Amino acid sequence: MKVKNYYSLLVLLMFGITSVLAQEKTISGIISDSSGIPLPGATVLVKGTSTGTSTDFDGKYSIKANQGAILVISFVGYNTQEVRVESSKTINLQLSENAQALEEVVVTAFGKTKQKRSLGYAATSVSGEKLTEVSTLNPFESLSGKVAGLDITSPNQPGASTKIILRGFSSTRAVNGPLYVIDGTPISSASNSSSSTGVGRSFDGGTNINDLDANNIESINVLKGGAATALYGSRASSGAIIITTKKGRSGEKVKVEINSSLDFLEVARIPHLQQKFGQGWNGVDYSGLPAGGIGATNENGSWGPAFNGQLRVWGQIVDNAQQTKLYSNLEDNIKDFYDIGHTYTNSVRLSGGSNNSDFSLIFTKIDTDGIIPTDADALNRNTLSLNTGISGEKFRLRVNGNYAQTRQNAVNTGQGNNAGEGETFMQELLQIPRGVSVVDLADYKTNPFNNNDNFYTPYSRNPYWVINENKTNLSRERFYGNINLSYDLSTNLVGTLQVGADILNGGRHSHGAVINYTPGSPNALLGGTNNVGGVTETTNQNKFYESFLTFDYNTALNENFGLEAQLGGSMSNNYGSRLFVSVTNLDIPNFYEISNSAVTPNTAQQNTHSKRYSTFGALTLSYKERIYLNLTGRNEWVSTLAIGKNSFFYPAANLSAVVLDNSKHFLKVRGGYASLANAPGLYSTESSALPAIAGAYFGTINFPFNGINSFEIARELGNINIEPEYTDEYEIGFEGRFFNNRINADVAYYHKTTDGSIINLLLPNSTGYGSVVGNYLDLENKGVEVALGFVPLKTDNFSWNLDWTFAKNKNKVTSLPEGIDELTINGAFNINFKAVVGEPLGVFYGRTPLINDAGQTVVDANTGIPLQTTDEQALGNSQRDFVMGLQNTLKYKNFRLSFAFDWKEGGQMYSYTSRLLGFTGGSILTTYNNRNPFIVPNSVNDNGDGTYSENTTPIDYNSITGYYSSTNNPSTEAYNHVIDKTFIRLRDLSVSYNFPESLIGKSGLNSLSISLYGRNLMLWTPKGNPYVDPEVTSYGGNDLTTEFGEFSANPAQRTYGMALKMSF
Amino acid sequence: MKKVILTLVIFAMLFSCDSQLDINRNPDDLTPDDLAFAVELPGSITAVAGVQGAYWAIIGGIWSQMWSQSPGSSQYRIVDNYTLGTTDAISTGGWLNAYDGLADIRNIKRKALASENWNYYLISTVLETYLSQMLTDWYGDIPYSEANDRLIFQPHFDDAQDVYDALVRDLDDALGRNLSTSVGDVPGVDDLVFGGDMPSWVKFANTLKLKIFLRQTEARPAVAQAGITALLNSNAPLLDIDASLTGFVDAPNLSNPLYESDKRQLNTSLNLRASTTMYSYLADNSDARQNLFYTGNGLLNSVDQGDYNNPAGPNTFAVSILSPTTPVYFISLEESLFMQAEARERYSINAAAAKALYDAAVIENFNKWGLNGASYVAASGVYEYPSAGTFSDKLKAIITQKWVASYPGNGAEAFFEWQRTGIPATSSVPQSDASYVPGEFAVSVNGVLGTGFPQRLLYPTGETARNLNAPAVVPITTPIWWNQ
Repeated sequence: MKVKNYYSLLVLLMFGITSVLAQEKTISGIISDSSGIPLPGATVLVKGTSTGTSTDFDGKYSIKANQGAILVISFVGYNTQEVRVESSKTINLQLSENAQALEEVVVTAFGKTKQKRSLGYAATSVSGEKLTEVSTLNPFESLSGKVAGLDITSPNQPGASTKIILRGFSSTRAVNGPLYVIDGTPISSASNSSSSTGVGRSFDGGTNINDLDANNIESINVLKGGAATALYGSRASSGAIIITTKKGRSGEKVKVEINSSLDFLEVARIPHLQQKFGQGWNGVDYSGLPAGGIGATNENGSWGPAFNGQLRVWGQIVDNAQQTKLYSNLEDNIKDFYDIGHTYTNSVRLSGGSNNSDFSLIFTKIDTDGIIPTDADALNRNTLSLNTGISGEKFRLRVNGNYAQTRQNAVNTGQGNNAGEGETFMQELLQIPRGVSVVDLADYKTNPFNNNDNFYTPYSRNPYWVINENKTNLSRERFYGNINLSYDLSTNLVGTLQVGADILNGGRHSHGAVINYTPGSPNALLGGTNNVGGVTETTNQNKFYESFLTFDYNTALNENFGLEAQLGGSMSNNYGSRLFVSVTNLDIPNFYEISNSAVTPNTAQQNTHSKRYSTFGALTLSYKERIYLNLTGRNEWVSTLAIGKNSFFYPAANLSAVVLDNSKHFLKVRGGYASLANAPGLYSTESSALPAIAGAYFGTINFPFNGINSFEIARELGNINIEPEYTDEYEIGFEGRFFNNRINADVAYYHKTTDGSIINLLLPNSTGYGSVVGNYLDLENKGVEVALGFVPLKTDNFSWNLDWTFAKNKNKVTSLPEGIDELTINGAFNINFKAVVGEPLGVFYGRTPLINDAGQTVVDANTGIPLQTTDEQALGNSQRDFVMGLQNTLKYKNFRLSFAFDWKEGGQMYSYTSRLLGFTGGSILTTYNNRNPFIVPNSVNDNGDGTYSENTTPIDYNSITGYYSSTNNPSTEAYNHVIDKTFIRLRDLSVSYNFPESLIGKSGLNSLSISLYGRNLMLWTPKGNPYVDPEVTSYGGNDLTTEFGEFSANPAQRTYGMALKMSF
Repeated sequence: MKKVILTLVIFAMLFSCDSQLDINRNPDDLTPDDLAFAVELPGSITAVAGVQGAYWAIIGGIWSQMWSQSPGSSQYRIVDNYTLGTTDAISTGGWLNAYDGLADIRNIKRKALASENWNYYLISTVLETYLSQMLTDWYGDIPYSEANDRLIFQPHFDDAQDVYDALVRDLDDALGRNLSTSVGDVPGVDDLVFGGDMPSWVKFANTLKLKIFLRQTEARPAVAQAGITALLNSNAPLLDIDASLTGFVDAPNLSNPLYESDKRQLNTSLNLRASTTMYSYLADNSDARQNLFYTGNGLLNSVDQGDYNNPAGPNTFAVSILSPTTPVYFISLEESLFMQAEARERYSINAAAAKALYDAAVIENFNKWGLNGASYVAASGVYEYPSAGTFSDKLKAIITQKWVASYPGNGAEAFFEWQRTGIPATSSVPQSDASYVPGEFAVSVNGVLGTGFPQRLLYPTGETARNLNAPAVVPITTPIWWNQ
C-alpha cells in the first residue's frame, strides 16, 4: 500500500520552466504500471534540464523536448526509467514496481511522516481510496479484514458503533479502543450509546468517531504496538489510528471532485425460526377469555398445535367479532416486517492552490433510512471540512477545520420497560407467533383488532405501535480541528506549535407513549399492565483542547550515520458537562415534553474536568539508511491520579534493519520493547455521596420523599492509592517484498504484559460498597499478525491481487487480588461474564444440567427435567481463536473487481434472542421430537444413596413449553443462551469501471468512474447460532462488557449500491 | 538548542505543579464526610423499608403462604418452588441492599458516637440491629462486627448466635446513653419514623429486644426467659404506636415498595394470587379482611400453594390487593401487642393482661383495614382468646393472628414465627384433598424439597465470590439455629 507522495512533484512543478527551443517538439503518451493501469501523477523530466511535467489522472502527459533528449520517468514505488526521444511523438511506457518502495512513508506522532523502513514496529496504512471503494457510513467498516491484528466489529446499521480492538483487551474498563488522531490532534471517540450494560432499555447511538467524513480521508495508519504509541501517551495504550485528511496541492488549478452513491438496504440476518407450530401455549391454541372462558387466542408464543391449514378464529373478541385466518405457517412473517432502506451519499470537494498555498474544501451529505419501517433508524449527517496551508521561506501555517452535524434516530434494544419509556420493537416483534401476519398489524389506528386494547395478546405490544410511538433521537454538532505553525529555526532544526480543539454539543430526546387500557377491554381484563409513558432529555457538551510544542532536529552525523531528534511537550484539558432530565407518568398522551408529568423528574447533572501534561523525547539513529535505532521516552502528569502518584515515565526502544534490498527483493527485520502507562478514569480517587435511592426489587424509593431530601454514600469506594497501570510490550517482526512485489509479507509477534491493570474490583456486598477502582488485575496478551499479499496473475491487461490477513491474540488473566479467583464483569439471566485467573478475560459461567460421574444427566424424578449443578460451570469465553481476512482484487483494463471475506473463528456470546425464542417457542430447537413427550436422553434419577436409576419420566407437553424456558428448566440458560459467535462473511464486493479518456475526453471531465457494490452479502454462522448476526450488539463502546452479547439487538442490513465518482 | 531546552524545562515546571492537577474531585457530588445526620438518615430509613418491604415481603409472603405464584405468569416461581439460588435477584437484592443501607446507618452511628450525639446514636443502632436481625434470620451467620468498614474488604462472618448476643449488647449500649446529654443536631422531620420523638425510639429499641429474645424461646429458653423477664419487670416502655414508614404516595418510586415492585414496575400485576392457605383460613372464619386482601369478593378461587401449573384460566384465581400508600411496618402496634401477650403468657408475667393485649392487637389490625374487629374477639367470636385453654392454645391464637396481621408486607416475620412455633400447623394432606384443614401450611405443589420447606436464603454470589472469609453456601434445607 502506497501513500502517494505528491510533494516532490509539487516542487518540480513550481520550479518547472519550459525552455523554448527551435528543435523541440511535443511528446505525449501514457504512463502505466506493468499491468497497464494508468499512473496518475508520475513525473516526466527532461534529463539535464529543469523541464518536467506530471501525468494526469489517466496517466497522460505531454512535454516539449528535443529529439535525442532523455526523458526520466519516475513514480513513487516504481523503478525510474529513462527513454530517449526518437522521431515518434508518442512515448508510452510501463513502469515496473520497485520492491524497495523506499519512499513509502507512514504518518506517526504529531503528524510527522517517517519512512516506513525506519520503523521498528508494525504499522499498516490504508489509503482513503480503499476505504471509499464501497461507500460506507462509517470509514472504519471497510478496514475489517484489511489490517492484521485489528479486530473490528462494525454492525451494518445506520449510525451504529464501531468497536476496534488492537492486540486484544488489556482492561476490563472502557479503555480498550485505540486513540484516534486526526492531522496530529486526538479527537473524541466516546460512545453516545446508552450506558446500560444490563437487560433493560438500551440504544446504540454510535461513537463520536462516526462524525468523520470517509470521503475526506487521505490515509489511515494503524499503529498497533506500544512502541508506535509511546509518543501519544497513555491514551494510546490500546493502539492508535492516525488519520490524515485530504489536502490541496499548491500550484494546481482548482479541481472539483464529486462522489455520489445510492444504496439500497435490506434486512440481513433475522433469526431462523421453526415453521411447524403456531400460536398457543402448552399445545393448545386457546387460552383464557377476558370473561374467563375458553376460546380467544391471546398467547404471545408459538406453543400451539402443529399447523393444520384450517380456517379458525384468532385474536381477541372485539364488539362480538373476531378475526379469522388459516392456521398455517407464514415462512417470512418476521422478515416481511422490514422495509427496503436507502442511503444517499453526496460529496463535493474543491481543491487547489497557488505557489505557496493550498486548500481543500469538502462537503459531504449522507441521508440514510434503514430497514426498519418509518424513519426510526434514519441518520442524516452533514460534514464540512477545510484544510488549508500557506508557507513562507521559513514559516508554514496550516489550518484544518471540520464541522459535523448529525441527526440520528436510534432504535431501542433490550427488554424495554412499561414503567418508563415503553417497549423495544425487536423484543415485541420476536414474540409474534409463527403464522401470524406481521404486516397486517401495521394499521393500529383504524383497525380495532390492532390497537392496544384489542391487540391479540396482553403480554406483548404491537411492534408497529412501538416503532411509531417510542423513540430515541440524537443530535450532535461537532467541531474539531487544529492550527499548526512551524518555523525553521535553522537548516536542521524546526519548531512546531499545534493547537487543537474538539468541541461537541450533543442532545438526546427519547420518549415512550402512554398505554391506558380502556376498562373492560380485552387486554385490561387480561391484566395487561398500562404503560405510564416517559420522556428523557439530555444535553452534553464536551470540550477538549490539546496543544503541543515540538522541536525536530535532523542531521547527518557523517557519511554513514544520521540522527533525528525530537523534543516536545503537550498539555490537554478535557471538560465535560451533562444534564439529564427524565419524567415518567405522562399526563397528556402523545405530548412528549418534560413538563408533561406531575411526577418529580429524575435529574442528573455532571461537570467534569481533567488535565494531562507531558514532555517527551525521541531519537532515531540511522546507519547507511539500513539500520535504524529508535528511542523514545515520555513523562506524563495526569489529574486523575492522586497528588504524589500522578507522574509517570515510560520509555521505548526499537531496532529496524534492512537486511535485503535489491531490485527484486526487500526484507526488513525489526524488534522492539515499549513500556506503556495508563491512568484511571475520572474521580476514582475519592469517595462521594449521591442522592439517596433505596433499592426495592423492581422499584426504588427515591428522594425527595415526604418533602425532604437525602444523600447516601456512593457505592464506589474511592481509592487514593491507585498507581499508574504499566504494560510492557515486546515485539518482533519482519516485512518483505519479493519477486518484484509479486509476494509481500508483514509478520509480527508481540507479547504484552500488564501489571496492575486498573479495574473496578467488585467488593463483597457486606462492605456496603459495590466496587473500588485500583490496580487489581494482571494480564497478558500475546499474538501473531500476518499480512500476506500475492499477485498470482499479472499480464498487460489483467492482474489479480490476493491479500490475506490473519491475527491470533491469546489473552490470559495472570493474577487477581489474593484469595479472589474471579471477577464478575457483567451478567444477566443467570449467566455471568468473568475474569478468572488462567483464563482469557471474559469467561461465561452458568449452572449447567447436573451430570453424574458416569456422564448421565440427573433429572428431577417428578418432572424429568434436568437438575442443575450447584455451582456455576465455565461455558467458554468470548475470545476469538483467530480473525482472518481475504481480499481479492482483479483488474482488467479499466475494470476492477474486488471482494473481501472476513472469518472470525471462535468465541462465545450471550444471546437474549435465543432466550426469548426459547420462551416463545419460535426457535427451531423447540421442535425437538416434534414436541412429543420425550425422556431426556441418557437421564437418570438420583437414588440418594450414591446410586442412580434410569429415568422413566418423560417431559410432557406442558413441560415442553417450559423445558426451553428458564423458569421450569433453569439450566437451559447455560445450555442454550451462550452461543458460538464464529462467522464467515462476504464483507463486500465491488465492480468498478474507470472511463478512459477516449470516452470522456471531450466532456471536460478529468476522470469518471462508476462502481456497483454490495456489502454484507453473505453470512455463515455455525449451527448453534441460527439467531443473530454475531456482530450486532445492544451496546456501543469499546468496553469489555460489550463482548457479553446481545439483548434483542436490531438486525444488520445488507446493502446494494452504486457510486459515481468524477472530477473536473 | 539552549532555548529549546529552556522552553521545555519551563513547560515541564508549569505542568508538574501539583496545584494545577489537584482537580480530581467530582464537583457535583458531596463526600461522605459532608453528610449531616439529617441528610443521611432519611435515606437510611427508606433503605430498610425497601429491603424489607419489597424483596423480603415477597419471599416472606409466599413462604408464609399468603400468596402463591399465579398460573398465568412466572415471576416468583423460583420462590414458590423453593429453588431460590445464589444469584436470583429477588433474594440477592435483599442482602445487597441491606448492607448498602447499613453503610449509611453505620456511618451515622460512627459519627454519632464520635460526637456523642446519643439521639442519632440510638436511632442508628435501632435501625442497625433491626435490619441485622432480619439478615441473620434469613441467612444465619452474617458479617456483623466487620461489615461496612471501608478498610476491610473481606469481612468475617459472625456466628448467628453471636450476632444475636451482639444485637442485644448494642441495643443496651445505645439505650444506656443519656439522651438528655446528647450533643449536636436534634432529629426532626428527617426522622421519617417518629418525627424526632426520642421516647418512641426508646420504645422501638425495647420492643426490638423483646422480639430478639422471643425468637430464642426454643433454642435458648433460659436466655429468652431471662431477657424477657428483665425487660418486662423493668417496665421498660414498649411500642404503643406503629414503628413504620409512612408518607408513600401513588407516584413512581415514591410508593410502598411492595406495590411499586409487584404492581407498578412489573409487566403484569397479577403474579401474586391468593394462596389457599390464608384464603381458606379467612373464608372459613368469614373474616371481612379476606375481601380487602384479595380480589373477587370471595367468589374466585385460590391457588393451592405452588400450583402454578394449574390449567384453569388464570382469571379464575383471586389476586392480591396492594395499595401504593400502605406504610411499611417495621414493628406495628399489633405486633408489639402480640409479642407482649406471648411473653406474658409464656413466662407468667402478669399473664392476666395477655387477653387484653391480644384483643387489642386483633382489633388494631382490623382498624388498619377500616374494619371493626371487636365481634371477632368477643365471646364466641371466631378469634376469641382461649383464656381457659392451654398455653399451646393461646400461643396458637396469638401467632395465627400475628400471621394474618402480617399481610401484606410482613410475611417474613410470619414465616420466621412459623418456623419457631410451628404455627399455623403443617397439613398432612395436599390442599386439594377434601380433608385439608383451612389455614394449614402445605408444601408447595411444585416444591423441589420433597415434603420439606425452605429454611433460609442462600448466600448470594455477590458475597461469596468476592469474600475470602465467606463460608460455604448453606443449603436451603438447613434450619436457622433458633429453629429447633
